[in-house]
Amino acid sequence: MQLRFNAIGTSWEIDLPNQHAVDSHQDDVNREISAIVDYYDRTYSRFRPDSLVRRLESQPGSIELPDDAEPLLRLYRQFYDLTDGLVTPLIGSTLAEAGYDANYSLRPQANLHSPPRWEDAIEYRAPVLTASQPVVLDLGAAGKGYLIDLLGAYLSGCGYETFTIDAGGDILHQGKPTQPISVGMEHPHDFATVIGVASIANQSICASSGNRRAWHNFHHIMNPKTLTSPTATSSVWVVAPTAALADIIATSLFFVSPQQLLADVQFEYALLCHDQNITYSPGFPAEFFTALP
Amino acid sequence: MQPEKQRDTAKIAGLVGITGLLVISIAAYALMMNDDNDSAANTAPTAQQEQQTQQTPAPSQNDTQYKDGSYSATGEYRSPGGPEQIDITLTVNDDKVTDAVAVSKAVNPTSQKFQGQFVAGIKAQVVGKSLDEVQVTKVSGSSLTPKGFTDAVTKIKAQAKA
Repeated sequence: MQLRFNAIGTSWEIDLPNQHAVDSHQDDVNREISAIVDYYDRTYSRFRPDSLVRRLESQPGSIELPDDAEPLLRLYRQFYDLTDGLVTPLIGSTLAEAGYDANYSLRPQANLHSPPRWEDAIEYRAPVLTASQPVVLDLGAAGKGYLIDLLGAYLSGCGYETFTIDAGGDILHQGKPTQPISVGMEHPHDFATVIGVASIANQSICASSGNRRAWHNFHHIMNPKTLTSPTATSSVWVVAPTAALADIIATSLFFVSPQQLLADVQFEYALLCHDQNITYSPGFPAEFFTALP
Repeated sequence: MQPEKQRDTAKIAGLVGITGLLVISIAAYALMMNDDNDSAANTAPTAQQEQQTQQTPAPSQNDTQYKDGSYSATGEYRSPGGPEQIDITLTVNDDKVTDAVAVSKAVNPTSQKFQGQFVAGIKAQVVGKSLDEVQVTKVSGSSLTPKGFTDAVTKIKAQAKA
């Protein structure tokens, strides 16, 4: 069976095998998935006026985050350090100034500002997150992947051994390695074509591109120091054990070389430039369509 | 616990060791592949050369210097943590390296780390293939832009026209 829904700004498809014992609870599963997604949105979204993290936007203060925030913020802190502060959950204020705000005004302000440093603005002692100044948290670099993982953990807990969760092209597969799924790697400038086919089993593939959520001179990834959107790379694909990891690495690779991260985390990557030159790790599980004569 | 500086030196030594191995491997590979008596070193198909040669017309069958096929070799070197190995397999087609796979066999964690960094990065020029021609169950990319964003762009375009 397949579940389809729209959440956190993208369309979702969850493929589950027809396991009769489990399917009798299908309605429960549907309901619980909706509940997890809704809870996630209410907690972490900067696009929802009533979300928990929005409480820190207008004034400093403390919020009590749910238990699952701990691994998410730990992941952010790890990549904040690995990328010398370029991947930061505090980028929300800069994105909003550039026009990527809760109303999607897409009208940049005349003057953009770098977000504060992590240690100057927020302190997290689970479960309490304290902001010493107003902050706009943006968990977009890992958030979607993290929600995919939350849903995957829920499905595993329900007894599903095989499933695929696809959130707008960021995908987590769980199941027998002998039955991988084929994932077409979309050509960033021609969506009717793919530049390769990846084979994914018991892992996640996440993609990030700078060409679609783009306005003015910006796209959805911004460098907090230069206050520009990185343009050298067109598209990035990352294969990693979890979707959160694949997601945040994909964003990180717009700022730093794979080698800077490979010393600390294991993943496979493919980086596509605008001239169709691709650089990929030897272990990247895909067949690429190359322009050999 | 070794002092920081000493560890750095060890890392650098390890890296030099691996780089040395690659040079040896490529040279050995070139010798192994060279049917003629031309200078092997100049014709060793490195990754960079592969990119250049892709843009030149393919030589006719009779002119190829190298036999098509896959070639594997195991390299050995001594790292600060002890002897290590790395397997390299190159696939040759019409005198071009069409694929290169390096498999780390390192046992020492530091060696694993540096081999992992070293083997990263094969370069190629890709072309799009129609979705009709390939069998895929999923597509990963950027075409599914968040709805709110797409709506906003549509709205702004409409305002701009008005």
